[in-house]
Amino acid sequence: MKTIISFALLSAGLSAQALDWPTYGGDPQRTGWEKSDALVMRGDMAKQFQLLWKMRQKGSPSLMSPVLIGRLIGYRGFKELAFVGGSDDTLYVMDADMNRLYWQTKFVPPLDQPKPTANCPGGMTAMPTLIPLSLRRPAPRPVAGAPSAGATPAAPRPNPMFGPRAVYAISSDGQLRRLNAANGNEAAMAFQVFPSNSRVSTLNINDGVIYATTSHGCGGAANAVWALDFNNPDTSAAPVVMTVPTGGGNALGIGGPVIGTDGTVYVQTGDGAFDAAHGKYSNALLAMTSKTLAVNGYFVDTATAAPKGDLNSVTPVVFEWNSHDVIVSASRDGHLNLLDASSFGGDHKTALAQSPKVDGGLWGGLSTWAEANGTRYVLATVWSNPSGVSGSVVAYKIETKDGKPVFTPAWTVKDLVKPVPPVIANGVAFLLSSGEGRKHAVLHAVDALTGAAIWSTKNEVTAAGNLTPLMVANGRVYFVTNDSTVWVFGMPIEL
Amino acid sequence: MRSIYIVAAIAAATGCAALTAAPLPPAPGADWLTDGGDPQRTGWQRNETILNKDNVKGLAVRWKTKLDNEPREMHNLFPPVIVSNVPTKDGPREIAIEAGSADNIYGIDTATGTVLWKKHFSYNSDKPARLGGPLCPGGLVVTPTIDTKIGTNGQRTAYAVSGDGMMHFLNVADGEDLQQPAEFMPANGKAYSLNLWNNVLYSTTAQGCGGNPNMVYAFDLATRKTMKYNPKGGGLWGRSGAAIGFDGTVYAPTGDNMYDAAQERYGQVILAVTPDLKYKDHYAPSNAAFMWKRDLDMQVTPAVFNYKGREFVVSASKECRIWLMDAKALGGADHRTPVHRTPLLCNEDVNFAAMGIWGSMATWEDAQGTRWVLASFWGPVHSQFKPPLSYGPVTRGAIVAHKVEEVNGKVVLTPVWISRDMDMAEPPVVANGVVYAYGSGESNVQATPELGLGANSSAIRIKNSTHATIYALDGETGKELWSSGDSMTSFVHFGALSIANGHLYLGAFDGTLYSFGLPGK
Repeated sequence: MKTIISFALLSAGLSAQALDWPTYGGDPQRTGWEKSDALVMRGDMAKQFQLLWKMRQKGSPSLMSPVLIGRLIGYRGFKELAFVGGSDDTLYVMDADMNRLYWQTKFVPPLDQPKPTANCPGGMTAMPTLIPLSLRRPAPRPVAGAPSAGATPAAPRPNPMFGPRAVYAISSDGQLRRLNAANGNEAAMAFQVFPSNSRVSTLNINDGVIYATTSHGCGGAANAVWALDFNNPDTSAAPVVMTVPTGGGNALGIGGPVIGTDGTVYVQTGDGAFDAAHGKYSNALLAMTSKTLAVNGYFVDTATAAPKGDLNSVTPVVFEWNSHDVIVSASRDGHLNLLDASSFGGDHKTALAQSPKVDGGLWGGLSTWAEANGTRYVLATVWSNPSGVSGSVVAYKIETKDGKPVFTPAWTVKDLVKPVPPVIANGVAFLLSSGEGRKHAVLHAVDALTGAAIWSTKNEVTAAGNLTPLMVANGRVYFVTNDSTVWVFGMPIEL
Repeated sequence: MRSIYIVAAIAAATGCAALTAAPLPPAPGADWLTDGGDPQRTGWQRNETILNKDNVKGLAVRWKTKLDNEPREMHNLFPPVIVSNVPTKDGPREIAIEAGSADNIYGIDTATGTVLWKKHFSYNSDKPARLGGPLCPGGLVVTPTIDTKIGTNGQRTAYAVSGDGMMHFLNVADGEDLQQPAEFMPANGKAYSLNLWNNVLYSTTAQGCGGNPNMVYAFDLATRKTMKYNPKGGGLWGRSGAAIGFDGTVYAPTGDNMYDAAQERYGQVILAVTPDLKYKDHYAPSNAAFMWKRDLDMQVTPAVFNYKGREFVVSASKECRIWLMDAKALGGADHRTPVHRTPLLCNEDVNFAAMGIWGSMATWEDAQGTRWVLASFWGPVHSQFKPPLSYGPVTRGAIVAHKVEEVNGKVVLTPVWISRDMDMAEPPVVANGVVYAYGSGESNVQATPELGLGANSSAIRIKNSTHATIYALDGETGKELWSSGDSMTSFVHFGALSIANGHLYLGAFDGTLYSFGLPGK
């Protein structure tokens, strides 16, 4: 099938490089790894990597990290579009080549907006998502023929490669929004799913089902995992909504639910009681069936140290190891645990391997990538304390010793201020020192094998990051600063 | 005289042309033997003497003939090629060779619109004939060409390529085969207008239709052998095929694909190959990578002309700018530097469809020796493009005229005028100081928000098309002198204007070939 698609692309003269970044971490497994980006060229970075554009949205107090369609063949042409959610309930869409706002849609906020708090900020909170192109379902080509001038056209069905695409968002009134990526019009009817003003996590999507969590009891929504199944071909039909309360703890991390390669949904929960028999799943990594969210596995964090602030509250990451899924999650006391997704150690509390304890605490999420020879790396962001003034990115190799996997320290990049989870492309890891207050953000490119410095933005960024994740696709790295500016650095292309 | 003319037109349209007294054809000299009028694809009818700026306002439909060709996808009639003084059994005739997509060729008496003969090519290939959407209609897709050589007894030869890829050699007088057909290219390909130079026929192919590679093809009439050159780039889909320089160099644009000269991959270039199809030169825009990414193909047949003793090539693309190139070194030493590069004329949205320059260029020289370059474009004019003369808002398309000038020792294109709005303006032709152009009325939208590229279906685009309108413009000012109004009732896809001996021709999607002229002339 891959060959056929490649031939079709070449026949149509379409450029091969058009990668999507459809969701946090680039994929449902939250790896942060752009596996195919040949436009990030380490040898040319020192001379050529540069600020391509920046765009500020003053109307929004805060912006989320973009998701990206590498090639949308729309009614206004071939576009590379970045979709950025704003806390002002607006979805901003930017032409990634032209530095133009392509369209924007503002959702009507609920009338009953409570005063924002640190835990319940209100506004749009869920980072939008797209269906990865590889998961889109095929449809027949438009019918060819020899029609006459008066013929009634047959309704062609969208081509999976070239048809319309949707972007999915949750507005602050709790409605699921399915918008046509080409123009922002509703691709399907909006449906009320969450209570207004819920704190809905970053969305994830797989096989026609959107997954999210709600936390902190915001808007009256329980701490829970949600599945919104919109596989019904009748787009006017409501999605099937499944909700499973965690029975206590909040879902942790900045990346929302994580989805394994087999569709299993993983959620890390925070403080609270654990009593599986009574549906209380705090302090655990939960494994849930796709769509129905039945808990079919869990790993209980037995660490006794109390987490400090948001530290050690991390979105897990999933990857294949020896042909089956493994998970890396953080323990409350600052270790990384490598977990067997099929057994969770049998006793639900024994990891395949555990990293050394980090100095400080883990923050946000994890990243992972693999060399061509299969060597697997896991990257973690470490804050020295909840203020994150002195932070680092730590990389571990997952190696096998005596027949068992182990975490082997590979490299550490220090002196970062509030780093966020890295992204990796073509052997280069991008690290963002977010800064704080008057300390501006600095984007670093380092050798993903050694951590050696390749390039950085130095003093070019003029504001601090807003602790949203990095994004990389098609030779460009995106991040957002706390003045509601999207920054894009990359390899230039003459327009 | 006018009433006689009208009667003749009605008679022709109703199939009663034989009842009318057909006027004798004018003296030869203003024939239109090939698409674009000449091998250089200038679109310039140098020998026109009947139509001029003063009388063109009197143009009207002389006749319209509905042909029985069945459309394939959006294709029906291709531009007619026209030759006068062809000896027939009924005496000398001016004959238009009209190609139809369903593998039909018609010989039409241009005096009356009467079909003198029809030739249907039987399909002869192991590959099944097929329709492949608007881009790959199959069937006959190549505009024929007529040899400049005159045979014994005044015999004229037309060359045509059928949908199975065979080259045919037809007697213009009666459509009979003058030679056995010969293999030329694979079946079901998408080939473009034939060009003829020094006894060799040229065409180009695109879209990978029928699974065929995109190449330059040549057919040596002396040896009946085919030559090929594969630029390993995108489709070569300049509407009028390749242009040929005064030394026989073949120029063709290549569409979206990788440009990597080191690997001899020539996507997104203006390509030059020798008459025997060996690589010679190329020009790749400095932003070729972006053009590829945004599907802004190089897809406009160049025009070749001389200016102050130098040979120039001019072309354009969907991006909507014009490049002026020196034929001796198209892109200079680095292949990326043309003699002149205009700013964007249109396509501010950077769209791949329904905007930009499509088809072919045109160029001509006025009585004062001023060299003009003409381009047609689709969609709104660029907000920053403001030539000295304009005629109202342009939202659907227009013709743009530049002068070729030498400024501070450099040859440049200086914008002079932009025409009135035209609904999808198509490549113009020029005769006797008058520019003729038309809005095709075709729906060129290939993607919609609801269907994405699924909207590029013939059925949808046909339904959303309107009708073509031809305009006559003052070549020096762009002022409208005449329009065909609503006299054409169908749109035009892959057609082109032909102008010969005081008459203008255009075939429409509904199978009607129109001829316009001055009543009584």
